[in-house]
Amino acid sequence: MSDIVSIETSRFGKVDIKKDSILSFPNGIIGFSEYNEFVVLEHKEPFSWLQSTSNPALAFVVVDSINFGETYKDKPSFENSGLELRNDDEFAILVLIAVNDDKVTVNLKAPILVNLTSKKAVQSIIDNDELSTSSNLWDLLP
Amino acid sequence: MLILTRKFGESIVIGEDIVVTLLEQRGAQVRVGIQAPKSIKVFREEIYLEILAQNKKSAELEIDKSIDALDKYLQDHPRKDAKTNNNLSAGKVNLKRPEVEIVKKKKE
Repeated sequence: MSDIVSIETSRFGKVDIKKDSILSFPNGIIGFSEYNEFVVLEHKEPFSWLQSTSNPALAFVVVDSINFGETYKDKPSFENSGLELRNDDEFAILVLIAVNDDKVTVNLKAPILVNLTSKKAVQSIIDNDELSTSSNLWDLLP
Repeated sequence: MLILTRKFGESIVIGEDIVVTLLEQRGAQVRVGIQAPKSIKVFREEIYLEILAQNKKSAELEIDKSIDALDKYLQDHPRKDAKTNNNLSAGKVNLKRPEVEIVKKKKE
């Protein structure tokens, strides 16, 4: 049994990844619920790609919210997201990037919550009217 | 669409484990309580639709204009202290521009 698997991607060709780097999305990503496994592929910092392991063409550009300093003053709640997070579990919060007319925007309203210990992830909608689905990236990076 | 008439305080049961209760009226607004298993996601419709639209936009990021916009962005805003989480990453990749050209032709 090999720890390395190859996945096909439309943007990067064939990529070898460690099996234990695969993130499981039990509910998928909103609008893409049929795809349940993704990996994070580093690109040019701070951008990474959240690449589907089963659909070569499906990938999202993401930024790890640790790059944003205090953007999430209250840590997005894992409690109501359906994602279990025990005390010692490591976690990451990724935000999706979009490009609107050359403007690079991030979706702070619906971040991807990742439990790095269990390798499970969900897209959670935060119930806070101050957070936007398309904030200017430049305003957020320190 | 199924339409039911309910009084405040009364509920509707959907399936075996979803209960929707009309709680109170505040002017033109109605407060609704929803009991559902954690695996059932409950969203306000307009927020759900907005996020759906943004997700689709994010998934459309292709190698051409959009990536050039990101590249240009990085040139304009050089980063000295980008943080990465080694437990998260599956590896580094470089874009293969020609292969995406092929994918695009297939779509046409």
